[in-house]
Amino acid sequence: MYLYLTFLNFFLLFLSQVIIFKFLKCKKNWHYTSCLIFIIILSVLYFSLGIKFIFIELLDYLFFNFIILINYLILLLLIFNGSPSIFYLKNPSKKLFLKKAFVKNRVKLMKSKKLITRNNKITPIGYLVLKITNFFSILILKDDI
Amino acid sequence: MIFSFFLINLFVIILINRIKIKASIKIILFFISIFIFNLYVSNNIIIFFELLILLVCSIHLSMIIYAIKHSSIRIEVLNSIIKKKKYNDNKLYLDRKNRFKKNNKSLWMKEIFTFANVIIGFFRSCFF
Repeated sequence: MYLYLTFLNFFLLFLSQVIIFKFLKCKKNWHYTSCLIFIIILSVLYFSLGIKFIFIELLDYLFFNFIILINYLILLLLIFNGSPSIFYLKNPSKKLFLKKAFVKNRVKLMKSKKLITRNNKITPIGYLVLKITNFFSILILKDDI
Repeated sequence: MIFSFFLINLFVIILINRIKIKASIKIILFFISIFIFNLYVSNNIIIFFELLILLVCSIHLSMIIYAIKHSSIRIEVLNSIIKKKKYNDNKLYLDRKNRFKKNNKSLWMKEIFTFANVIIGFFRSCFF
């Protein structure tokens, strides 16, 4: 029921991203940009095509689109931030890997996001992140080898 | 329909997670059970594909939750501070090196990253 419309939403999002990221070179705040573009596309298409969903259908449609959007943004995170595993797969050289300084950069980010202090101590936000992560891992998917 | 199907997905993965087996087998079990359920409840091919997309999204989200716990650098750094051990790029390198060894029994197999690399390569060529 929502498949064609959702496909159109994401196809237009992808085209807009290509224009903005590749041709206009605006990659800063890519996540906010992507979310904003998607909301605009979703609203414009819904109203311009004259679609009339009943309230429950509308909620289902929005839920379907936003679940796919979350998954898509997580995938884009790998593309924009880079993954150490993918980097290793492409370049197994230790020298190149260490040069990339994944941990050093992430620690800097953690300090700016206030997960840890300047003296490398965990802040209450850091503890909260750790507890939430453990909770969801135990609840959703954990390894029992 | 969509929301209730997602809730069923969530309920099933929580139930399967209780079983003491490897994470990769849990994912396969989850996919098979929900796929069969999808075949049973779908009235037409469109709904079937919608629910299949939702199933793939659920699996992706579950794997991300697993990835955050087991290989997020942020979580590794936080854990190392608690354990009063040092975590640096050298340790990360050794961890990733071990990940691609043949005897690796975790969910992160070389094939998964090779597949991810193809998708990432496509998007990188489009956005960069």
